[in-house]
Amino acid sequence: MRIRVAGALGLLVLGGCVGPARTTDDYTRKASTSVHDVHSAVETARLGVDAVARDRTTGPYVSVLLGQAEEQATSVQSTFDSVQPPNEDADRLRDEVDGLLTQAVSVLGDVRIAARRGDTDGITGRGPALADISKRLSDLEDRLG
Amino acid sequence: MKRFVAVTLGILTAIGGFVDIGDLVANAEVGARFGFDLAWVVGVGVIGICVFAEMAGRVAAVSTRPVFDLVRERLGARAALANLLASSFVNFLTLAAEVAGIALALELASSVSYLLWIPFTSLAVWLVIWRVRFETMERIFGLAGLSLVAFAVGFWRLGPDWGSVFHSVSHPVVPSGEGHATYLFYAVSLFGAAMTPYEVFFFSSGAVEERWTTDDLNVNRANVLIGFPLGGILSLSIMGTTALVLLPRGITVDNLAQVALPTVLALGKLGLAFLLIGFFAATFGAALETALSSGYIISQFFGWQWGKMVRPVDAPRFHAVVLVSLVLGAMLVLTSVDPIKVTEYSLVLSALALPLTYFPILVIANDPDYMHGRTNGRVANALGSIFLIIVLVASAAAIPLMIVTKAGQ
Repeated sequence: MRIRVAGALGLLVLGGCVGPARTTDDYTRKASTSVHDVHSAVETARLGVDAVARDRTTGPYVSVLLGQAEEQATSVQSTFDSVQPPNEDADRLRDEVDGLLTQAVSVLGDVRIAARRGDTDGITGRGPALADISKRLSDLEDRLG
Repeated sequence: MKRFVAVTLGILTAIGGFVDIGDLVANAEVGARFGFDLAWVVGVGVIGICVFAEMAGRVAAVSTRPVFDLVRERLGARAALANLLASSFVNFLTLAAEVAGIALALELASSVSYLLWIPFTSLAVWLVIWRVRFETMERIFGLAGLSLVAFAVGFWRLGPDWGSVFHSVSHPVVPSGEGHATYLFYAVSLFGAAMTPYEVFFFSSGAVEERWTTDDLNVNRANVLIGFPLGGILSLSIMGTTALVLLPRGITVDNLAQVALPTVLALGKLGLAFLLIGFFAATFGAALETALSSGYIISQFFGWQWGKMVRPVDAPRFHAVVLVSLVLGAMLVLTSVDPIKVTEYSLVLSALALPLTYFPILVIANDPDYMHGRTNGRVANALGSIFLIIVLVASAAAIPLMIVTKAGQ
């Protein structure tokens, strides 16, 4: 019984680790998941910016919301970057995905900085950039399937 | 009139106290990912907790002894030890998640990192347990938890297409792009959130602390049978707001700020203020209950003097267990482990431990030696047996589903 419990806990711990990508398909799946997760963070930020634009939220709340969106995107990008691409096709995909994720993290960073400074115009001014990066992430996600 | 006020207050407290960090996270996650296709699980879970909480309250009122005390006596030390170990571990994770939840609510209000709040929130929980009267403690946090009704108002203001909502609730499907295993994993998590074992231990021990008698059975029934289903509606409202706003945008819920976001968009700053009070009260109340539950079950197993109302000098080991549980829970959160992940794991492990809690209650509620003519009737037994089967299936499936889906990824 004890061994089974230890085994189950071990599997749970391993389940949280980043697995290697052995094939291009596997790598593409991981890329797609990463793009999806960053897209989720960007969309969260867009809703936060919308709430600021409509004066429906408070500074501390939106600062935490946007900070966490950036944190999530950064963590996803770092996890994706740590996956070993299995071949040259995957290398090209890595460059494309990583480039877009970097831009997304950068925009999220800008909007977080504006939020922490209480710069309402700075926050709402990033709305179009967030919309643009969101569209590109969504297109890439659709393409990756 | 006095009776009516007591019953009403009890019901309101039960509604406000129904939602905790597990319900907040699980319902918001599920709504953002599956829409209303798992709403039926909330209904099943609410009926289940009503059936067993009513039994646990009745057992406590009739026998004047709490459930865990009777489990050891009726089923033996070995079965009780298994229950104790499993429930203590789940309690520990749940307590850590609730303490983190209080700190996260304060972070949303102040933008000061939740980690900095942890020592203060843990101390505050301990002070309330130490100094505040049992009934006052329950009422304050239960009633303040009613602020979460902002979710229901927000859901209504978001203008759902009611026909489509009812169709989705009554004709659930596994959404395209989601596997059956993931769907079932979240079903088990939601079920675990509704039927968390600490609720029953707290409920029955609290009944003994408040010296319930058979005269209180009707109040118990009203609290449970009216308060919990209304609390379940709050859970569904949380699911509804994220289903309407986050799901169409492909947003997955990873933090408490996202749980509030749809309601903030619908109700603005006032809605946010209500939600923050609700988050604080719901998690603070649940932290009190979980910390006390840890003290209750360990003290009752070892036969120590126990009770929040017993002076610490007369029940030192009970109060020491409560304090140590709080410190350990706080330490776990301070490792900077993701509190939402702790909540998710606590829900699944809670589902795993459910039979160890609910099977003994069903056995004892049928034992005439303890129940003195107040044993389960046919309906209670039929429902109890059906739910025991559901609980067993959820428990058996919890870990395999967790592994297969990598915890719902």
